[in-house]
Amino acid sequence: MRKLFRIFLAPVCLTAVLAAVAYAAVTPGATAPDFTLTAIDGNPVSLSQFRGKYVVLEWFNSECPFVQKHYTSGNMQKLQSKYTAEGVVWLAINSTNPEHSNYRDPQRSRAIMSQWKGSPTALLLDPEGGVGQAYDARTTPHMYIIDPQGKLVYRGGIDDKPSFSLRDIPDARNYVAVALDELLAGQPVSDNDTRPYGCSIKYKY
Amino acid sequence: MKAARHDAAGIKFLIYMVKHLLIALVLTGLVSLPAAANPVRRDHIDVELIPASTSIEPGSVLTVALRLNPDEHWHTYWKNPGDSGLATQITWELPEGFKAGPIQWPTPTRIDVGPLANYGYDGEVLLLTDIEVPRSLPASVPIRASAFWLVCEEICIPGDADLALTLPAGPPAPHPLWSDRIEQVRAALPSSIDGLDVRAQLAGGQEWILSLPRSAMPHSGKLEFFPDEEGWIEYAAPQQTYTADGKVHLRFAAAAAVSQRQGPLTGLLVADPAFAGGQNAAVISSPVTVSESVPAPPPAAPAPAQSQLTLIVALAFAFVGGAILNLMPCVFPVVGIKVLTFVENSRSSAASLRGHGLLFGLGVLVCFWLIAGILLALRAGGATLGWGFQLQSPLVVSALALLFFVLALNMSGVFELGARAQQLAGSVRAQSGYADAFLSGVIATLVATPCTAPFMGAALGFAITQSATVAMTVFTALALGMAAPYVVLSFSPKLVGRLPKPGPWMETLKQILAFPLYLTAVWLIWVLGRQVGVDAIARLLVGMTFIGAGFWAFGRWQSVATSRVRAAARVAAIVLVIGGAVFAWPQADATNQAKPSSLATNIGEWQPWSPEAVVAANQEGRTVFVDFTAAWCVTCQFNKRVVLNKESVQTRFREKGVITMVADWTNRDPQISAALDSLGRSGVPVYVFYAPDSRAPILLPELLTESLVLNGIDKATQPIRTAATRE
Repeated sequence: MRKLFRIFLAPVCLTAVLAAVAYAAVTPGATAPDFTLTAIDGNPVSLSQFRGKYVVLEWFNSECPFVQKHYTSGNMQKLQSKYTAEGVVWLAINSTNPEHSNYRDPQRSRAIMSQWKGSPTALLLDPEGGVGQAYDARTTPHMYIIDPQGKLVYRGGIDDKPSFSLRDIPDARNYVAVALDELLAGQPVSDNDTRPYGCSIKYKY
Repeated sequence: MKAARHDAAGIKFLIYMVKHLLIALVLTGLVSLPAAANPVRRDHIDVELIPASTSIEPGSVLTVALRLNPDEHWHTYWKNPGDSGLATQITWELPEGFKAGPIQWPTPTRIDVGPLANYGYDGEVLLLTDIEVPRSLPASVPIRASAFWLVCEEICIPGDADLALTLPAGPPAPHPLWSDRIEQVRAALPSSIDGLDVRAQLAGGQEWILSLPRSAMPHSGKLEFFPDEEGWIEYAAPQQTYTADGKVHLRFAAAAAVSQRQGPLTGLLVADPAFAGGQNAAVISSPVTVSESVPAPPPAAPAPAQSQLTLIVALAFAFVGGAILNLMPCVFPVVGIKVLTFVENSRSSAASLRGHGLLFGLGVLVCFWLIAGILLALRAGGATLGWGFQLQSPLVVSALALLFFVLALNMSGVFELGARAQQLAGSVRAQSGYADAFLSGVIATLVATPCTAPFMGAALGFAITQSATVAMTVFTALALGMAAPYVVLSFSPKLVGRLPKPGPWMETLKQILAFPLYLTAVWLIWVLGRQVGVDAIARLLVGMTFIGAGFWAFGRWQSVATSRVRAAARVAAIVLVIGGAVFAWPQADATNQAKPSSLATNIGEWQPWSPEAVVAANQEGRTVFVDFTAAWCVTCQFNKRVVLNKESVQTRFREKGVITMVADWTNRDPQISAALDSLGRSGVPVYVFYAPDSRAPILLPELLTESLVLNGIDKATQPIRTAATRE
């Protein structure tokens, strides 16, 4: 019983410590916490290997209707292909815990992403939820942009129309596109901290 | 299982019948229900548009409810959904001239989802919208609404529906099924409360501290804040209610980017139990003051456990507790006297016997009411007090010690009072007066306070957090429980007949019973010593000697001497008694130097209690056992000697690494009172384990046994199943 307790306690504590350490660091202007996660192709990916480039973090869960809104409409794919072509790194991260019904293993994740014709630089799995909590990510989608110096320059929603209706996408102000355009033009981000909307991230607890 | 299915089938059939009956009624024109694409069933939720009135009056305001009724364990969201989720939206499509107001959101509840928190409605909710109706109307009015919602459990499912109602123009006709419910929902809507002064302080950019006067929330309880907008608070962080400086405070973590927010802090402040005015939720908009430093964490125990009882259970507990009180050591000497009275009166008429029983009961009742009334009044005034508070006053303790001393002298035969003296013939006394019966009830109650009987603690803790009416009801039940055995005895001549015959043996027994009373006085003197020290004891004892001399003089020349001598003796007696009382009176300054009277004995390692020490020990991963005690609490002393200081118990504490602490409530101590409040108790003894994990504190009963404590230690130190194993 005690041993079992320790086995469970260790990752929980680690996550808590990670979250506590990162707590002050999640606001724009602060250094983005580094991490290493395994991509769905089996390769490890670290944030620090992309120093010198803009990095977008997109919290992802293929089973969430809000994520589906932006993928079935092609909205997210468009952003991914447009900005990765301009040298931006796009990391989709799925922090769903493996016991949740929304969890999709690497094989199924690959199938889903290719069916959706998504083109992030990588789709990373974060089954322990440590990275998600380090960034204080709460919803899918929840978007972050990190500048070439490793500083967080945007966090928040994908756009300003919190709904699951595809009709709202054309009229919405896409915060991520606006921020990336401003950054690539050498300007500061006008809206750098907005409200995310979507499903709760299915963290382990 | 089979029976349950059968029932379900029965209910379905009933619903079927009612539906068809209604349809029949509508067809026959008896009920004119609106025709509508309404209600609709979507994934895991029923959605329906319901008008408060089934016809529309020109120039009025029509309330329409959107009823969302998700499956069990599914929820929809408030206007600020919290960390995730989406507020329900309604888009109205109304004829010319109609104007729909905003959704009137009922008070939400917090729904924790692992490290995230949402604000919403678990189960059914009615979202009301007021629609302004123009002065001229067509014969029938179509009302259409597109509703969007997100319904979640483990997963989230968005949904939408186009709902429609058609209502005839006409005088208002309350909806036959729903108008009452809609009015209930409207009455419970949060609103701003006049005169509720809530201050918001942002400490160090990290913590919010909301403060309101104690008078706004007279019954200690729990507050919870729901912000209107994103970016002000950490939704998932715990919110802690505590009392300090005569104010009620609510403390919770600010959002990381809170410094970018401007303007007042707006949202809902929800109180449980209700605010002074009876409302549960207040709409607030508080100007923000910013302070640089973050104050130390508030002194309050974690996870309040109060109001777990229902009124009925509390009343039952109080009654049983009151009855058991008669068996506790405090009341024992008085019980002896009481039984003697019964024996004395056993030959008198049944009616007079009943009268005695009832008057004794009345005495108990009045005394309880008096003490409870004072207690509640003082608490309403902001004092942090609990049951037994009167014994925290050295004056009351001294007075009781003197009272018992005099009673004991009386029973020893040093003097006799009033008419009895004349009738004293060394044999059976005449019937004692009704006043006596009443007074003995009062005295029994006074001496009972130091004892807490099983069941009593929980009932009193419940009482004190409730409204004054409820509290008095519980105290009444307690008093009735205590008086019940005597009242029952007095109403049953058969039982009285079984008592031994009166005779000279009674005088002997009476004199023997004086000795427990002397001991009671000794104990009270010890309590006084704990409270204010040896000097006070000396004064009290000197005073007692004078008073003893006074009553002796009174008794010595009471019936034998000539009238002149008797008069002189009485004057001397009065002078001696008054002089003694004045001398024994505890000095005002003495009461102020009340210091923590360490009740820690040298057996075991008892540390003085403080909320900070508990938190610190918990943070080190240690379990803490706290003995909330007082010198005047007899039950506490009994438990300590017989159970807690037993070698086996002490060994187990050491083995399991439990830190043992003593919280000594002999003197007034607001911190201890607050801790007791948060445990749902209002008096001592309270025995509680604080485990280092997030579990609620584990309470032990008021009367301890060795095995109870040993099991408690094992339970408290055993790790709970970790959250990760949860489904």
